[in-house]
Amino acid sequence: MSVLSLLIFLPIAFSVVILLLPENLKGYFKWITVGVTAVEFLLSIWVYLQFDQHTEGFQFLVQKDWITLPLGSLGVASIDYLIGVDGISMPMILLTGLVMFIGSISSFEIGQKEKAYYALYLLLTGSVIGCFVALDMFLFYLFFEFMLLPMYFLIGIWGGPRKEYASIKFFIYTLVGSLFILVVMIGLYLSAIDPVETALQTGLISELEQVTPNLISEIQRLLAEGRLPSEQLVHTFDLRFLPDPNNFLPESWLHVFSNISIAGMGLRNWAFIFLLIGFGIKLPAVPVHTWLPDAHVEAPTPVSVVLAGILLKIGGYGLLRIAYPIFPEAGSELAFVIAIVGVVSILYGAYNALAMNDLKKLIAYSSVSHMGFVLLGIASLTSEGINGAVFQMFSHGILSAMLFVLVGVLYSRTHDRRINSYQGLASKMPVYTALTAVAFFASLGLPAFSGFIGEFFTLIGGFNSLYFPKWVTGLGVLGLVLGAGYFLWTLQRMFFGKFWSRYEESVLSDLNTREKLMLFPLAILALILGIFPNLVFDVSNQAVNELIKLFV
Amino acid sequence: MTPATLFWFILLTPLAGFAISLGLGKSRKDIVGWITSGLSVLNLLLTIGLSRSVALPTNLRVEWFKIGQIDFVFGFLFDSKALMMLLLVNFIAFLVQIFSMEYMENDPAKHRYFAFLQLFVFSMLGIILTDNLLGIYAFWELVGLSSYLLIGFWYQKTSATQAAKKAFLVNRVGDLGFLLGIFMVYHYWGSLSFAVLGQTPANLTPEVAKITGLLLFCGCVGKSAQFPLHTWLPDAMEGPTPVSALIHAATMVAAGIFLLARVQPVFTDVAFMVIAGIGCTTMLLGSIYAIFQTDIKKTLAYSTISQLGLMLIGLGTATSLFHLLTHAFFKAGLFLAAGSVIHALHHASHHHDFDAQDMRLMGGLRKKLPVTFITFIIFAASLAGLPLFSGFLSKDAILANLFHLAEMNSYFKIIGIFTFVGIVMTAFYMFRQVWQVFMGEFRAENVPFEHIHEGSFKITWPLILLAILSLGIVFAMNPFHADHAWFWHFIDNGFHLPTSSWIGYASVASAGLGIVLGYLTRNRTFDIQVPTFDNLYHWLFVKTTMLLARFFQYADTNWVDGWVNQLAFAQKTIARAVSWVDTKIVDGGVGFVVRWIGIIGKMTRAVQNGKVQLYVFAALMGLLGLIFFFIY
Repeated sequence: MSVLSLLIFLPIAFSVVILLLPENLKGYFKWITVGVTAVEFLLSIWVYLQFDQHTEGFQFLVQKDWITLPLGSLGVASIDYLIGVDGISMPMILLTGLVMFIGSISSFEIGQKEKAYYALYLLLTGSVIGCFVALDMFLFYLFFEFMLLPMYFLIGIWGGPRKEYASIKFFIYTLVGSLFILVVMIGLYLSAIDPVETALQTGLISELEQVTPNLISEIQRLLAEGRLPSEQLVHTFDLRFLPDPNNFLPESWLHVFSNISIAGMGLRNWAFIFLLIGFGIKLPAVPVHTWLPDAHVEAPTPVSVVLAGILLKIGGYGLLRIAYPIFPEAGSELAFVIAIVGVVSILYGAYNALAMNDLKKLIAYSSVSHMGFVLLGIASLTSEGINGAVFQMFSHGILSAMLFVLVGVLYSRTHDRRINSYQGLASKMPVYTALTAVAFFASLGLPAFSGFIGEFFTLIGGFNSLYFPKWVTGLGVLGLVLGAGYFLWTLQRMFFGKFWSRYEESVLSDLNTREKLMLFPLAILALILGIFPNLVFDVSNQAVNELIKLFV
Repeated sequence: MTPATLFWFILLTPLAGFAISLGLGKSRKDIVGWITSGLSVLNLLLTIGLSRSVALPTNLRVEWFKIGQIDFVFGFLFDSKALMMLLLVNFIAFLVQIFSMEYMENDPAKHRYFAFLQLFVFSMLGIILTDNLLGIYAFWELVGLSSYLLIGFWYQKTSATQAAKKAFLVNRVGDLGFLLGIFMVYHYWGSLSFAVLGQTPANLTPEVAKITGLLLFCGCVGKSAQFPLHTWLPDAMEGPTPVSALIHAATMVAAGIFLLARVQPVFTDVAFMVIAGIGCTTMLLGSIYAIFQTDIKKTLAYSTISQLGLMLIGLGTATSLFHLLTHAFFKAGLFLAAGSVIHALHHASHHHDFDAQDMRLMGGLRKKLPVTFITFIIFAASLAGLPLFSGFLSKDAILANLFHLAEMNSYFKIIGIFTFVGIVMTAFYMFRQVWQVFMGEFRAENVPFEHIHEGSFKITWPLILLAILSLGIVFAMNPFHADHAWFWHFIDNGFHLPTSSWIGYASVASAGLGIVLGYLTRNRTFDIQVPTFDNLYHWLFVKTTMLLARFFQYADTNWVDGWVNQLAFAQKTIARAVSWVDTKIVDGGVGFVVRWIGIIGKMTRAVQNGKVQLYVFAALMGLLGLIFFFIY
């Protein structure tokens, strides 16, 4: 079994194990989960170390036929179990390993229905990894949907007072988004073929080993001339073939030369917009972000950590893996709009954060703001911007995980997250204050921490973009002041001044060992990445360069 | 050691100092000050060693990371400007730390204090040594952080933490412009290195050059507290006084001037005119405010603002740097001397209601604090620009340079005339300050005058050393003529200071006028509240931002999210309607069947106990099992 398959199926297998273990062993469930996520983390580090930065294309590739269905005149349906990594997914896999591990330590606070909780948590882990390694769009979609259900229950069962509302909102929002993706997926499936499988099917070759670049061009020429019988066409979800316009049926809806348009816009642009909505909800981009604050406020700490740390990144990742490579021309045509959405998210999220009195909601809105940088960087279609976006996703994963763990610390002591319930915490909880200050400064883009690099390069990419004017980025830069504003104001209100709190002083104990074990590594990692951004850039650069080629 | 190792050592010793100080912690906080002072001396020696082992300028570049085809490097640029700043920062940091050991003697968190000072020195050395804009911006922000930490050092004081926050945010506003300027350079020059700024890329229009220059200048406006972003510096006086001496007088606020010198090739004529105009406005504004202060530190803070404006009038040339250097010594001295006064009064009073910084309560201190008194006079004379003192030389140089430019552009003549007005005011408020603090009779009633005494050598020696360095003779063999100063050969061999005979006389006359006016008003206090920009900014920016924030919050809950909830409500309504049709009309016919299904349902429910999550879980597992089964 390849290491990537192991990454997917190991947690899922242990999810079943936990489910089958008798209830009286429930003290071990958390240790099993910590162990499994630790192994996952180590495996992801191993993959990272084995990853060759200079190779083009995907590595650790595994391809197995999964479903092959002859559909007569509709051709042959082929769905593969196809997984692999490149420079864009590699940082995400590493991030998943890390955040899931931290989340499992944070899960120790869960005090009820442990069996179901840990089984769902491990199931979530496997599906997230699956999402990041899937190279078959069908498989991607499958894992994408899989994530929804564990998340729905994790919020809906272990959440706060309004958990039902928040979880159903999360569920429906994301489900609507994924329907948009589904529509595009079906459209793509009907439009494109797998040239290799088609060659086998038509009998041009008899074994896979005989495939040459010339043969593929030959198949594509035959396809363009309409000389391939439709029942021999092998339709595909393979993300390696979908970006090549030559693999599209000449008369198909999503062909580059397709002139079908709805409301004055070509179908390919519509398809791109659909994907944008689908992944934009996940990101989340304003105005489809309102599920996020509710979900975060109600979710238990570890679920918030995972939600902000990883799940949001699937939005950005999906854009880079699916939307942009397949519809590059739509990406450049709509760059201005996307950049505006990014900048609006930055500013709107920041303004909302400024108005919050609930610390967790504040951080949720700051996530909206920080993910806006990702969108701006991607929209720029420059090397700086997209590398910056990948970096920003990684950085935000670490920092938001840290921020939510920090909120959880306070919540676990008083069950109150209101900023105005505390004052002068620094004198009672010095270590907690120091780490909060580190997380806040790192998040507001202080150099030497990872947040700075992400923001700097998404912005410089936006500024250098050929697709939208410079004032767009100029507006986005304002987010830096607002970000400093809400973080420093919170710091001042909660941590400085004379000590005062609605609660007994004795309740507000400083960090315990378990909390330190989560927070110190995250802080150190944010620092290391801020000083050695090459740890991510070296990996992502090659893949981004290949992506950029589609736009020139 | 190779030069490369030396570079890293110089940059990283203060960082080590930061880590060591925090590591030693509360229990061994008494030795921290000695360790960090020692590190500053070590750094001074390393700098001298470096200057002897390499030729100036030396550029050392280390690959950092690569994006696209562009290499981003971490580079050191060691030239005469950097050498001067390294020596200056380390030297003043050393004196300030010695001074602090006594000033902060009884503070329970002084390990943290020295750690933050070292963090500041580290960031400042970074600004000085880096060879590109990304690097300087990074350290620029870190300097902002250390300033934040030190202003808010007494974090239980709300006014201190508010001042810290204000300093950081106001600086960030300036830094936005700076950042956009960096983006402009990256876009048009294709690199972030200082070295490329001298080139003129093909697509560079004068318009672009002008905008780039002005945007970069924004960074300087923030950090060097220039109008209209000057408002944070007076508040920054909430920090411990030695911090004000090091950071908010001698070094950090001068970083803006250093930046100006670094990016000077970008500036066009228009940019230079804007810079001089902003500098002149700030200089006059600062002097006016300085006159009306009653707090000993606030006078000095506004005086710093005004002197930074004067450095801008030097337009980032060698004359700016010369004034930066002389100002660093006498202004650090003034703050430390003020600190000595505050420290002495604080010790003598033991009275919590007593404001040890209020000059209206001082007077007659010359008898009790003789060293502080004499050194203070030397610093004040230097600041006022009296001959024989260093300030005279550097002001003379700035004016000479300015009137040379005025021969081509009469705009600079107006600036020059205003500069003389500034000199009058400076001499005026400094004379009055000396008088109020040291002459006359002691005015505080609840402090026993006889208990006031001078501090130990840790307080006096730094003052004496700085006083010596404020004498004109240190900088020029002929202390009446700036063009004789050794500085010009050191900093820039190509620089030639235009000579002019009348400027020296005119500036002495202006300073003299200021002193006379000061003497005439010596017994009057000007404690009128002059309207500051703070209120204006509060309404203009803070209030509007908060209003916008609340508006967006309202919009988010009621409109953006409201729309989502409306949609859900609409769906539910439709569903209810459909359900009504279904039960009343369709279901009526099949009611019989349904009843049976209901019975079966009840039976199965017992088996499956209604846990939805288990169903879904089972379904997912089945699907995953299928995938697994098909593949392996």
